[in-house]
Amino acid sequence: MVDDAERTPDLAASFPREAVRSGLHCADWREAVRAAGSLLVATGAATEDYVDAIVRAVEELGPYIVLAPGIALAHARPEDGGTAVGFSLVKLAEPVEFGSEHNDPVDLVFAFASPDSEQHITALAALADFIESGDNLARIRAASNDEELYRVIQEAN
Amino acid sequence: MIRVFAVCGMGLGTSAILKTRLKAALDASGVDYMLDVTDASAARGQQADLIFTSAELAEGLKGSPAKIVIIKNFMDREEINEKVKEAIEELQ
Repeated sequence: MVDDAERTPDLAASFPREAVRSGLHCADWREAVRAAGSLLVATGAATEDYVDAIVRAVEELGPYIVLAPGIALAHARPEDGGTAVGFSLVKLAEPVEFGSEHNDPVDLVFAFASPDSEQHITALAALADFIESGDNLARIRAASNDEELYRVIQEAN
Repeated sequence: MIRVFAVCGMGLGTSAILKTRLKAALDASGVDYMLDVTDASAARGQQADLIFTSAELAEGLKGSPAKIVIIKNFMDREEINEKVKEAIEELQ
């Protein structure tokens, strides 16, 4: 059996420089989710349809994607237009409300896409562990431009 | 053997993060368990003892014979460890 880590892309490979934006102004959660989703399209991880599917998913399933205080993890299903394993991050200039009972308002919107239901798992677990550890979250929030934000994220590997 | 599910909207994102955290907490508890990830609609048809999910999705799982445990912060291992411990004590 092939080890998971060998056949699935790691976070460094899946989180390109162009997929990180700091200080975006978004009027509401839809704009914020679309911004994060568009970065997946720009980096070749997803189609435009995938971005629409993320918005629909939040409308249908509710704001459960806001999985920690201030943090949303936006995604749709692989068959909605996931073409490669890819992650993106939008750090908002002003937080937006998703309607989450416990975790509003949101200032960090992560998005991911995957061509199937398995290949993103290794990188996603690495991302979650990184966000949870030490002062990493504070450093993500303190980053003042795209480059700084990218450098912090790259340390997750 | 207790049957545990991590449930999110699609079974791809939040529940995948939750699964690694639940696994650590369940291993530490010493109970014999089976852990799986599923989406909210599939979860309704599953035979489960414990379902861990978000406040938003818990609404849709009402009526399930399983004990539903709401996680507020999916990144927070301490919250998850504590809730796993409580839930297992209640089951036993």
